Amino acid sequence: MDITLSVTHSEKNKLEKVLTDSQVFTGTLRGITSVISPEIDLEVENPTGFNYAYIPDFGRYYFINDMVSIRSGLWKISMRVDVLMSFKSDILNSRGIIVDTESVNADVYQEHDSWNTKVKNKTDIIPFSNGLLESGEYILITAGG
Amino acid sequence: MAYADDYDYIVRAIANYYSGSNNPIWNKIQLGTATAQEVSFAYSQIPQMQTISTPSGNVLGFEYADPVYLTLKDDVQGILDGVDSNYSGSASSSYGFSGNIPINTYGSSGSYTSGGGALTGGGSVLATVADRVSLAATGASLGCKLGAAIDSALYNLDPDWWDTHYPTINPDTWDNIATTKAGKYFINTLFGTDGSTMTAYMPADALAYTYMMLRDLGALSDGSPTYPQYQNTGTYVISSVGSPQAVLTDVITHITRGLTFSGTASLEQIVNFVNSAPSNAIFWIEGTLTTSNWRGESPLTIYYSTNSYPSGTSINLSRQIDGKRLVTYGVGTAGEPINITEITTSDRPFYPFVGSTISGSVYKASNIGITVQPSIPGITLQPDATVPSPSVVSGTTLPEVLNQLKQNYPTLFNDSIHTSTLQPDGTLKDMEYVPVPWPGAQTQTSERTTTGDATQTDTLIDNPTISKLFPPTTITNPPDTGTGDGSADVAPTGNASSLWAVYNPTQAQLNSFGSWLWSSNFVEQLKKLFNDPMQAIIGVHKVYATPPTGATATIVCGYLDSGVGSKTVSNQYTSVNCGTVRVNEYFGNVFDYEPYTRISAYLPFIGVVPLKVSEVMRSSVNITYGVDVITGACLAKINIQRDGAGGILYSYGGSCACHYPISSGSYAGIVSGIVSAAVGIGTSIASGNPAPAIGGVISGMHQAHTTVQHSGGFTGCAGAMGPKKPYLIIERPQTAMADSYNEYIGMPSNSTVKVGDCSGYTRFKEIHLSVGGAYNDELTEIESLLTTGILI
Repeated sequence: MDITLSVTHSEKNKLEKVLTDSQVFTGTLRGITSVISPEIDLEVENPTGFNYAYIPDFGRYYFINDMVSIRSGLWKISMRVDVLMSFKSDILNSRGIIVDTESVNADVYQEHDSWNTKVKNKTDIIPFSNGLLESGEYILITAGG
Repeated sequence: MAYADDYDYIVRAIANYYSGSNNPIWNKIQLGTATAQEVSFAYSQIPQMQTISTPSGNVLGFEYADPVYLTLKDDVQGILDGVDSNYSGSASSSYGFSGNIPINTYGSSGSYTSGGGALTGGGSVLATVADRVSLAATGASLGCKLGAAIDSALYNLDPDWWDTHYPTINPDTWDNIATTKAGKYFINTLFGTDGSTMTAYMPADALAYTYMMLRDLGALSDGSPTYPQYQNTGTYVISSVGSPQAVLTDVITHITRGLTFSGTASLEQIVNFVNSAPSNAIFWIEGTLTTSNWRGESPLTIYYSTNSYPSGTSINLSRQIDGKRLVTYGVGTAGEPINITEITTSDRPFYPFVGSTISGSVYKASNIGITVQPSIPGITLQPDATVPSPSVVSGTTLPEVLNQLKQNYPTLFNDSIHTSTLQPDGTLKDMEYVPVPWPGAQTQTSERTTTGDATQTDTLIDNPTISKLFPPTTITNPPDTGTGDGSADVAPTGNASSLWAVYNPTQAQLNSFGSWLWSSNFVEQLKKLFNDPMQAIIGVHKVYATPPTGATATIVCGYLDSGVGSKTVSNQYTSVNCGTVRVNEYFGNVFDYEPYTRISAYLPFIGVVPLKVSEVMRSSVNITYGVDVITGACLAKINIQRDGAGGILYSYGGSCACHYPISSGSYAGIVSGIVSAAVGIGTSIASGNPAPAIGGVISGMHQAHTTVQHSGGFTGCAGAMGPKKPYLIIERPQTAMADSYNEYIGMPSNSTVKVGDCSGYTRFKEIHLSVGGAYNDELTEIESLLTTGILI
C-alpha cells in the first residue's frame, strides 16, 4: 500500500497541519493492523526525519509514534490517527458552543480564568461641581408667630 | 483642497458623529429650524437643565446645572433616544467632546435669542448655538493652542451686543468675564471648561481638531466663518516671474492681503517704494495695528534698512510689540537665502522674511515666512506661539491632514488620548482625543482633571489583543438597556406657622439678639420677669444649606419683640443640586465591574457609602440634597440615569445642622448626641471580608482583596468639619494580563458558531459532531480535542 511520509511542525492540536517534504512510499501491512493505530513495514533507507503520514487506503492522516529498524533498509513505522486532520472538513462544518476563543465572538465582559490582576490598585476621585455650604447659615427658632 | 465649505454641513456632520442618531428634534436643532417650543421641550428632557423663570412664571431661559459635563452623545441623546450605553465606548467623560448650553434670554418677539458669544448675532435659534458654540469652542481653544490670546478687544467688537446679552460682564478683564455668573456660563459655553477654576481642559476629537485648525489657519474658505480665525498671509511658493517688480508685487499683494492702506500709500506706491531701494534692502511695515484699525483706519508706514547681515543665523518670526503684530517683507543678497537675526533699533524693530533668493536679474521668492494675522479683532498671538504653517497641510482629506500635522508639529498632539470603541455594527473604532487648553494658558496644556492617569502601565487589557479581535459576527443575546424612570422627586414645602417663627440671622444679628436677651437694662429686665424670653427660644443651629428666605422682620420671642431685624425663613425645605458626573468605563471590559472595580460615594454629613458598580457604570450620577432647615435633617439622593432611564437608586439620610447650646439642658443634649455617634464610629472596624467568589472562577489573588469601611456615619457638628462637596471614589485594579494570552487560553465567549467560522485558538463547551466515516474512538477523541482546545 502507498504511504505518504511528511514533515510537520504544526501543533498537535492544530486542525489542519502544514506538511512539507512529502514523499510517497510503498509499504506492507504486517499481519493484523489497526486502522486507528497501524504498523507498517517500509523499505526505505532512513525515514527517521519524517514525523507524519498519510495512508490513502485508510483515508486518514497519522502521527508517527515510533520507527523501529528491522534490518538495513527495512523499518517498522508505528502510527496513531490524527483525527483532526483526517476529518477536517466534517469538523469544520459542525456547530457548537464555544467557551474560549482567540477571535470570534469574544465577550470581554464575561468572567474568565484568564483575567489576572495585581494586588495593587489605583484610586480615582470624581468630584461633583457643587455641594453644601462651606460655612453654614444660622437658623433661630422661637415660639410664637 | 477638497473640504466642505458648508459650515452648517460640518456642524451637522460632527454632531451626528457624536449623537449617532436621527432624532428629529435634534436634527432640526442642528439645522436651525427648531421652534422655541421644540427647543424648550428638548432641553427640558435633560435632567441637569433647569428652567429660569420669573416669579410670575415667565420663562427666561434655561440654565445647565452642571457647567462642565454635557456630552452631546451621552446626556442629550441618551435622554431623547435611549442610546445604548453598551456601545458608547470606554472613554471617560472628561475625555469626551463636551459642550455647554448657554443662558439665553426670552426676547420680546416671542422667540429665544442666542447667547452664544461673539459668534452669532441676535435672532439665531437658541439650540443651534449649542452645537455651534461647542464647535466654536473647539476652534477658539485651538486658537489658544496655536498661541492665541483672547483679550478684552473681543468685547469691543460689538459692545452693544455684549451689554444686551451679558450685562454683568466686565469688559476690562477676561477673568471677570469668567467668574461672573453669566460670564461663567459663557466661558463654559465657549470653551467647554470650568471658568471658576480655570484648570480644566477640553479634549477635542482629533478630526474635529484638524478641521478647526485648518479653519484657524485660513486654509478653508467657507465665506462666513462664525468664529475668530486666522488669515493666512502667505505660505506659498512663487516661481520666477522674470522681473523684480513682478515678484515684489506678488509678494506684497499676498502679504498685505487683509490690510487696507488708506490715505498714505497705495499698492503701487508701495511697490515703487520698494523698487527704489537698494538691492540688499530689508523692508518692514510699521504702524499701530489695533483692533479698530485693522481694516486700515490708520495709515501704515514702510521703512527699509540697508544693513548687511551674515547668513546662517537664526531668526525669530514671532515678535510682538504691545500685543500687535507687524508684517514685513524684503529681499536679500543675490544668490543667498535670507537668514537674519532680528535686528532691533530703538524705534524700528522689524521682522525679516525668509526664503527669497536672487539669482542674477531674476528674482524669486519661496516659502515666504509665516505670519499669521487674526482677521477678527480681539485675537492676538502669544509670544513664542506655535503656529502651524498651512503649507504642510497638503492633504485632501481630514485624516491625511491630521497625519501631516502630527508629523510636522508633534508637540501639538502630546497627551493625545486613544481609545477603541465598539460600534453597533460590531467593529472597533479607534478614537483619538486631543487636549485643548484653557485660553488663558500659554501654549502649554493644562493639568488633566483628576480622573486617573490613563497612561498607567499594565492597566489596559491588552489593547494589541483587542485590536486583533475579529468583530463579532453575531450577537446571540443583544444587551438590554434599562427602561423606566423613578418616581418624580417633588420637593416638599412648608413654612413657619403661628406656632413658631424661623429666622435666618447673620452673625451680627444673632449677637444683637443675644445682647437684648441678656440686657441689664432695668426696664427690659422687668418685662422679662413676666415673660421669660428664654422659654420662647426653641433652638439655634447652623444649617449648611441656604434656606429660602422671605421678608425681613424683627425677632419675636413669645410676647416680646427684641427689635433685632433678621431675614425670615419662608420655606422649611430646600434642595441643593450637587451636580452630575459621568461614570464611564476605563478598561472597556470586565475589569470595569465588580469585583475588580469598586465605587463608593462620599456624601457630606453622611459619610462614604458603597455603590453597586453595575448600576453606576456607564451612567450619569446626580446627587441632590434635600434639606429641612428647621431640623437640619438632610437626605442625599443619588439619581442614576443610563440609556434614557433611571431614577433615585440610593438615598441616605443625615443631619447637616450643627446645634448650639442656649441653656445647660440643651448643651447636655447636644453633647450626649455627639458622644453616642462617636461610639458608633469607634466600634466600626475593617470588616476584612474577602471578596466573594463568583462562580468559582475568580483568581485567588483577587480574593485576597479585603473590603474596608472608609468612614463611619457622621452628621451634624462632626459633618460640619468634613468636605461639603460630594465625590465618587473609584478603585480600579492594575491588570496583569499575559501578552497574546488569547492565543493560548482564549477570550471568554458563550456563543453558538460553526467551527469553520472560527479562527485561532478555540475551545468548545458543547459540540454537535457530524463526521462521516469516523470510528467511535475517533469521535470521542475529536470531541475531547475540541473541548480542550484546538487551533483552527
